[in-house]
Amino acid sequence: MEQQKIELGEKKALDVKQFIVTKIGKEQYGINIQYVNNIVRMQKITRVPKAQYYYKGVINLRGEIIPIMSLRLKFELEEIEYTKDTRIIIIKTDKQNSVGIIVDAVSEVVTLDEEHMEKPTVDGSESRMQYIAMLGKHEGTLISIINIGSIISEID
Amino acid sequence: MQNISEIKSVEGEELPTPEYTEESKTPEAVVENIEKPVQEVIKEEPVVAAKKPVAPTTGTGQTPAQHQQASGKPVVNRSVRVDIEKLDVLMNLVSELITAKNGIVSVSESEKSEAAQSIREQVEYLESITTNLHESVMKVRMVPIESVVSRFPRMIRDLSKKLNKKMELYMSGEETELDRTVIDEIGDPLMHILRNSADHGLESAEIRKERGKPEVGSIFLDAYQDGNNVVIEVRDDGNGIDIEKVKRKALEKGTITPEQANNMDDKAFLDLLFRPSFSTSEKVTEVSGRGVGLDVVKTKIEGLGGDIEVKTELTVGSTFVIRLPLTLAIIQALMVILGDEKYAIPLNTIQTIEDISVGDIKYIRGKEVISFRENVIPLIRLSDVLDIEQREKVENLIVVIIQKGDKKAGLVVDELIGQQEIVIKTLGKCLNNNKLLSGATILGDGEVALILDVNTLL
Repeated sequence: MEQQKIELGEKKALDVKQFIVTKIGKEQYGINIQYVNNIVRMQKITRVPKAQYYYKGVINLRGEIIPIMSLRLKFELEEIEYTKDTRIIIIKTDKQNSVGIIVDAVSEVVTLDEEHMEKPTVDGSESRMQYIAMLGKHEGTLISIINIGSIISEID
Repeated sequence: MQNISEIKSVEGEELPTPEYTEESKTPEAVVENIEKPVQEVIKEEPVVAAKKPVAPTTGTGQTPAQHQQASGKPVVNRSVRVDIEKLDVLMNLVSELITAKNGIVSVSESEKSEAAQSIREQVEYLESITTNLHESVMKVRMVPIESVVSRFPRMIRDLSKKLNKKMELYMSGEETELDRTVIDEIGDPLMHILRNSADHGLESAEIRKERGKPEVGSIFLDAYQDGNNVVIEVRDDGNGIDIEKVKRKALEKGTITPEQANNMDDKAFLDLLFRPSFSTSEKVTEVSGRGVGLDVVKTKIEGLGGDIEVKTELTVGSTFVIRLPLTLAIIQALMVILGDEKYAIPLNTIQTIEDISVGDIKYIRGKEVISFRENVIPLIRLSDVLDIEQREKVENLIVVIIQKGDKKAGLVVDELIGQQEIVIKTLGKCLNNNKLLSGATILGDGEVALILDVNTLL
């Protein structure tokens, strides 16, 4: 999270949204900032038995119990060791519920407008594409915008 | 507590009556009033009560806080109406206070110095205060179940006409108190069970006569407190549940396979009644028989942290027993260690803790059992259930004997930590844990411990 890049002015009329850019492996994923409640460092996670495989457990965040999901596991990628860059992004799903997701690193906050976003071409071969809502272009890099609803609502 | 309610009742008096103006005209006068000894204010109370109709105690979203005067004075309804949300805030604060207290307890226990001794004494004092505070706040939230059950006699009279059966509802224990949030939720499930008893339970007048029963059928609703639980029983002297019929229906519908049926006892068949879309009724009536219902009742009651079971005897009648926790947020629990994880077992479900030698374990149908006080009870290896790596084999097992209703089981744990007051926090909707856990709690050192749901283990 360095500086916020706000490119207002001429694009005022367009729908502008801010995203937190996170890294998983070499890829960049964006999370709409309106869902993000907090970003915390890795801490001790209490395992919850019989939970879905991609949930690592729960943490105590200032007296609140928050389930923690590994985005790598959810995206069917291999898990890596946690580093000093590993972060947990706390996402507020509704008034009472929060979920934390583990990402490899958090790099910055970007502002994207409609012009720089497009629908991803649906390719059934990769299961993680179902969790991507949009593809954003920012300074020559691609950011996959995560559909928050799809990664937390799914019950299996 | 007493004084606060006094302040409220004085402040709440917005339009002072002529007799009262002298004292409550100015803010200073109000203060003066507060500082007066309690008795004096009480003396004035009848004047207030007479001038202003007493607020109904069952307003929506309001909790009546009743204060009965122990003295011989005539009982005046002196209550304050408080928004339930304010009470929720208060309850949350108490929960956090208890978590913080647990933190101090764990710090003070690790210190060995002399100074720590006096800290420990003070902590013990603090502990008794927080326990009392919690109890008081809980009591404020308690409402007699009368406010829910008072509409049932009328409902039964209406049903009696509609179904053309003679029946009478007998109620007892209406004064039993429950947490406000439970009271709000328990009405519909109770109504459903009563309708069930009236429609399916009680036989028609002819059959009753044949069986030598009085023509008028009886339904009983009894509520009482049992330790940390409130029990509500709905009993009828009707037909009872035909287990053979349940079995036949379940096989017909494919709910169970014939092989399963052979291994099931009566209790297991009765549990089928709580499955979704299961009804033994041949016809759908206006009152019931659609097969939606008992499963909803069960879900609702379990959502409140309680459980429901049914006992029945053919041609004699059936009883639905609902057990609800007195408090929703804070419980006493036994902390145990499994592998390197900590778990909490609600204390009210624990009967005893036993040392069992491995040699005493017997096997029934490939399952481990132990005999305990002339009962054979199943042994549950928690480390298997919770996917925890087992420690090396030991000769003596620590077994926590749990009991819920008639069911007992022995839980094998690795180590005991001790008894602790814990605040229950929900795990949220996202985690699927097969109902093994009823929540989590934060320990004194900030670590999270999971709370086992004994209902699913049994």
